[in-house]
Amino acid sequence: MKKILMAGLIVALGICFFPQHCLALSFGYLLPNVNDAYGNMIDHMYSVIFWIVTIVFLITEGFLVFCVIRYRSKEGRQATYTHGNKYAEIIWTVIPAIILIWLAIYQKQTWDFIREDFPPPNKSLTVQVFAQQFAWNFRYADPKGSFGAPDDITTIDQMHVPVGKKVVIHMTSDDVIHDFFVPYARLKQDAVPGMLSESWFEMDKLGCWNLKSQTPMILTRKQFENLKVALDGFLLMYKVLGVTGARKYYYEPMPGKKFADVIYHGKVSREPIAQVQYVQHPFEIACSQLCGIGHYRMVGYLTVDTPASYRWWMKKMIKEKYQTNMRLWRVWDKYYPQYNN
Amino acid sequence: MNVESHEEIIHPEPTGFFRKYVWSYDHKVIAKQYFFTTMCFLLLGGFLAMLIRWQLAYPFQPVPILGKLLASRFFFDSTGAITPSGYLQIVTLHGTIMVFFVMIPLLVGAFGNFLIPLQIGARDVAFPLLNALSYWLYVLGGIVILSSLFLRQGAAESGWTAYPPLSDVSTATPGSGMGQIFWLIAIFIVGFSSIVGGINFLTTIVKMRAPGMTWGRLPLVTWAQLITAVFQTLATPVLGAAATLMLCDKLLKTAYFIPTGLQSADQLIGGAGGGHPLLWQHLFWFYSHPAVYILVLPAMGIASELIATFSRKPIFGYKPMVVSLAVIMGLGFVVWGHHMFVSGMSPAMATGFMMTTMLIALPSSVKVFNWLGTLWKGSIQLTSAGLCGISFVAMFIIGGLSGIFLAATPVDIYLHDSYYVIAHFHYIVFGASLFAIFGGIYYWFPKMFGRMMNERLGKLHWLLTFITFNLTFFPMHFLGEGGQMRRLATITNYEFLQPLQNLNVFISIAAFLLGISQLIFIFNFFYSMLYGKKAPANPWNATGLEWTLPSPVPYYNFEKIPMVYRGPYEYSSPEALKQGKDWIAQSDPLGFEKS
Repeated sequence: MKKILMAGLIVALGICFFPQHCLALSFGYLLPNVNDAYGNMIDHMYSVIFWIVTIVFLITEGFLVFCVIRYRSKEGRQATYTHGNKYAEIIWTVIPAIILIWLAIYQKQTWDFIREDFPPPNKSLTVQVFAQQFAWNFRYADPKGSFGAPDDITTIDQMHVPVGKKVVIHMTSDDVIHDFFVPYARLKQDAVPGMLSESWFEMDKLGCWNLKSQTPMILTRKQFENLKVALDGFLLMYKVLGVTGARKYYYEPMPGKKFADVIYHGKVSREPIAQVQYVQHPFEIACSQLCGIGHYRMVGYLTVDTPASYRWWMKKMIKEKYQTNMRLWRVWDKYYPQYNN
Repeated sequence: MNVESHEEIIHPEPTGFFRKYVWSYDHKVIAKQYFFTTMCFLLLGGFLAMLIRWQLAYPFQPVPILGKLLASRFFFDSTGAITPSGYLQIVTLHGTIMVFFVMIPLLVGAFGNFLIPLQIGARDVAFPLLNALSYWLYVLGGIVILSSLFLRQGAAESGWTAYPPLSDVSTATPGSGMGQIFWLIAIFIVGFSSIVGGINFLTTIVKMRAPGMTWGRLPLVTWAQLITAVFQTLATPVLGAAATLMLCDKLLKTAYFIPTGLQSADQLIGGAGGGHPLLWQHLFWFYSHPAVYILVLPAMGIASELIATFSRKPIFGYKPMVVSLAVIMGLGFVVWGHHMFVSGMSPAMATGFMMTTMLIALPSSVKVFNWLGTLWKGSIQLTSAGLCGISFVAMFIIGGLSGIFLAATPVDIYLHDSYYVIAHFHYIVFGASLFAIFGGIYYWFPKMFGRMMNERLGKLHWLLTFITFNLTFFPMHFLGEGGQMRRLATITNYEFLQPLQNLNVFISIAAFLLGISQLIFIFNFFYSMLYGKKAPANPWNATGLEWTLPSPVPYYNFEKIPMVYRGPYEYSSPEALKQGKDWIAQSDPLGFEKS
């Protein structure tokens, strides 16, 4: 019985921790990050902690398994009578204390940079975000740069930002607390009603979709400009694969459309839809704070543009006088006019 | 302390059924009442977890058997699938039940009640009437929360954290009408029960220790209960206040948590407005972070006891163990803000909370090293109780280490409210605390029911639980790292989460196996209670005062209040070895007194 049990213990420990932990190492698990300003700092902090924790994990769990095997009760074994050891206590208090305090100080710089070093208004683009059940509303300032003017651009669930430009988000919520989460950008900030939340980011990569393989790609600005990428004319579709609800996503030309606006080396031209190989693809904005029964489907889309495609999009928006959900924005202007300055 | 005054039995043992089993003042009966009630809630909460896992693996698919039976009732639609609103009710009830109706009453109400008087050498707790009141208040709270299931719009839906305005504004979500009011009343009642229990245990431990039971000789189980009682007494009133404020918002149309200009369903809400949603978060976490320690400190005590007994060694570093408990208590009150790093709270305050959170990792790590030190050079008996005690440490290490990622403010930006958090606290509350509870049950079962639990079944249960637990919760770290958020009825609406769906199915299957493995424990428990081997007074050769009593413990515990001569874990001491055994009870007279 004892032997079976010992074997069971070792196998259990073996199965449960080590391969899984090794798996985590080899996967490098976090999503790719596309936020140039501080995404790498967060990922760096993550891996610093990961290595410290892994070493502590291996030492402590290893010692535990060693003790259980080496000192298991058997005929003639006598436990050593001791109440502890002053020096051991000092060592294992002081060393973790040093590591923890160092970690606290080390990460503070990153945190201060992310949350306190906001880019100045003349070097950044400000976008207002108004969350509601269950949609993201975005407002871009009019050409003179003021919010709350009659010719602002407002969109729903669609956000566009230029690559390599610092973007500041001014955000609040209309009804309940939501959370603006862009996983690829390492950005997460609650939208709390009655309160202005500010955060910022800077995207350095662009999303794109390969129509031939029907897979998403993440490209640098240079790679993106070397491809002919369609800016419109396509719809993102999916089919459900089975009872697990997993989906296969694909792009399809809009019904009846023959031509699409395609960007290549910063120039937009119209091309036949049949010849298009790549489509611009947004990153997703998720809601990360429970906000009601539609919480699981509160998806927004963040498109990263090159400066040229951003101009193309802005021009189109201004030309169409694109505005949605103005009732909601009137709430913002009535109750939170101070957020427009 | 005056020994004589305890000597005669003031209250004779009640004979009527009602006074003996229902409205009993006997701490052992109340402990058993707590025990069976929490076990029922544990089954319910676990069952709700199975529903959560079903929904995440097979979203909006009919639930087998149950869905058919309960179609169009509770959480199910007419096909027997879980609705989005039903899913939020399940999530809310799972969290609420497991925290407020299982772990706290089980660790404090059941284990605390049973063990504190026995371990300090007292005949009962200080206030037996309050003790009974505390239990029945808890039952009342349980009835209120369960009855909310039968409301037309269903139970509360805003998660166990009940963040306003979602919880506060009745039109924000269906469950925020009557369901949330029931939730708040239930929380207020169990909070009250918890405060009453805390005051009772504080008084008992401070005032009723047997002669010779100095602070330095108190078993660590009782030390942990003492610190927990401080948390309960000082932190729970804040939760009660918060619940009262929200009830005022809902019933009296005040606006403590409702800001000016708040809309819901296109209507302006809140009369005067001027409240603030973050106020609730501060009040709630001021209680609920200490509550997290209420969930683990008593388990730490139990694990210390198990590890010392089954290593046949005194606990390594008794004093550092006690000091680290006290430090956890002190720091535990000033770390609540780490739940709010991305809430919009001032970044400077977040830095402060990050510092205190990093510091609170220190006493926990000191405790881990001391447990390892206790195992070192011991003579480790791998009984089912011993295995559970050791598993506590193994799981606590993982849960503690993953906490460091979440304490780091920059990393928390990415991992906050993700499945990483779920993995982290289930490693603490399930992996660590529940293993300690299982161990505690195997260990003290003979004292409670006078019979032994089956060792073979116990070990089988341990092995299956250990494997399936890790297969369930370890991959959740990967889900969090892959960006999966909490409380989503399904992740399939997000393109970037598609690769994780297969892992979700894997986790669900492991969780179902984990659930099924618990049947072994239930069978073992009831079978042993009725037909188990008769237990001797001290089956584990343990040193505490409770083991000097016959099994089961007689009414009024100690015929004569014992005298305590030495520390709690005198295993393998030279004094004992001289007598030809490897343990010596706390109340065994010293050698020179005997002769």
